[in-house]
Amino acid sequence: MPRLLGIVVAAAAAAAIAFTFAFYLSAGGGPAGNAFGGGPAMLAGAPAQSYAVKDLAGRDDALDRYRGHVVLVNLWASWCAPCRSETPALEQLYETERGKGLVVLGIDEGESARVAAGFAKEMNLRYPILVDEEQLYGRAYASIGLPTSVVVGRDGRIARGIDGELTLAQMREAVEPLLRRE
Amino acid sequence: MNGRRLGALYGLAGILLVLAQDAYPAWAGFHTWEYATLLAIVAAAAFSHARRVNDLAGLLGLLGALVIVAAGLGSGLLGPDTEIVARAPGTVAPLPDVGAAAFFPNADAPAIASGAAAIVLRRRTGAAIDVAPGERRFLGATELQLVPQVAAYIEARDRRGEHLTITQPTNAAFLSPVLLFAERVPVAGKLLPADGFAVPAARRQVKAFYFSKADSQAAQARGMAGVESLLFAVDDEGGRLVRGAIGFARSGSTVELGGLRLKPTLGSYPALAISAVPYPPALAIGGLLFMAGLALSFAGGRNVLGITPDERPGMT
Repeated sequence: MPRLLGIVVAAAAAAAIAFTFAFYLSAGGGPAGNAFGGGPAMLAGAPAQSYAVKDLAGRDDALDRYRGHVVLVNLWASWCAPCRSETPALEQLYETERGKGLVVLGIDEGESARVAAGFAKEMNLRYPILVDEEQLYGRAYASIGLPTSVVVGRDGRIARGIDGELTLAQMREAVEPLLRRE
Repeated sequence: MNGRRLGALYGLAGILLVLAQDAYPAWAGFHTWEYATLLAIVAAAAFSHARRVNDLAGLLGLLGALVIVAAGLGSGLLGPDTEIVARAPGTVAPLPDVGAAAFFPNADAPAIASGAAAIVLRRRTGAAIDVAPGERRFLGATELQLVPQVAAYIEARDRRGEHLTITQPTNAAFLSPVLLFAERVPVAGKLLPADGFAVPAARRQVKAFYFSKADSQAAQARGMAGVESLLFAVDDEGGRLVRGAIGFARSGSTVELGGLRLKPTLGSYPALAISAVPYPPALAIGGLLFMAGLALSFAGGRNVLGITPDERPGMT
């Protein structure tokens, strides 16, 4: 009996040793490597982060207040020439598609409310503008430059993240599949 | 000393060598051939004595020790060196080999000053894991710990007091106002943590050098000796230093340089240290076997250390 028990114990120990080595080999050597894919494109499918900031009137506002809509989040700054150049197309998209449930949400990255309000007035913007002095959205949306656009579905998940200036056609292409879904 | 006692001592030495990996997982020596050789020698010595052990108690104890040594060899030889994952606040670092993603929380100036930020690991399966400063978390054969790193939250304004966008064009976190000082550059004969950022609205590029209390004391910085501070140097778009735009700022104070009002808040922000450790289930199985051997030997009046009840101190 003790001999049988010894054999069982020896077999269990051998299995444990084999399992340990197999574990490390199958894990590819453990926690090595840590690729950081750059840019907002990698965010597709992830839940959209929301941070409480102020709007142009100084009221609290945040992305998650627009849950249930398709939201085109546009990160911009007044000093950014491509941001300035794409703004008329954003305004046009908002005016034509808002009836279908689209919200264009402009988020000024790092600037004062006064600067953001001056820009909105100059460009005659009617879509909502948030003032993100601490650049919280820019960090969370992996912005690698300005402008950055992020399309958020009605379910609060990111459908697309896009770096750089967009034309009106590209904006429509990004939001229309989501607007067609109820 | 008899063979059984020697075998048990070798087994115990092997166990202690492996448990040291759990106690000091970041030590690079665990991943060297010297450490692996030492473990192998101890295991071979224990095994050679195990051949002469003909009772179940001794067998159990020695097999337990061998299982633990195998786990230690596995993590030492096959596990990678400790990796420090540093990311900007508000970003996510995928950790494919851990099967998780590390969420580095957004940090404002008070969070940097307090250095109390915790990193959250989210897994496809299983609950999220919070790793707070000073805590250790285990995930499979991986140990996770936070390493505080010098950080500065920068606020930039123009002369009228308007808030300005800060960018880090060479950083993965382009829009982060938090400097993490990944570089070391020689300044006044010392290697100092350095970083940089741009203020596009003002067409300025700013270099920042971190001076600890000791560094500023040693450098005899005017008005800043013995004070933790940042040295700013403000360049124009062409990379030329703006005349007179170089100066120190202590945490929470504002300095005006090159048309910018710069206010740093100094503190720390965590990086995630990922270390390989012996696979916990193997340690548990080995430990149970070893303890079972010890218990059986005492229950049977024999023990793997070769000490009979009559030989124990105070026993006659």
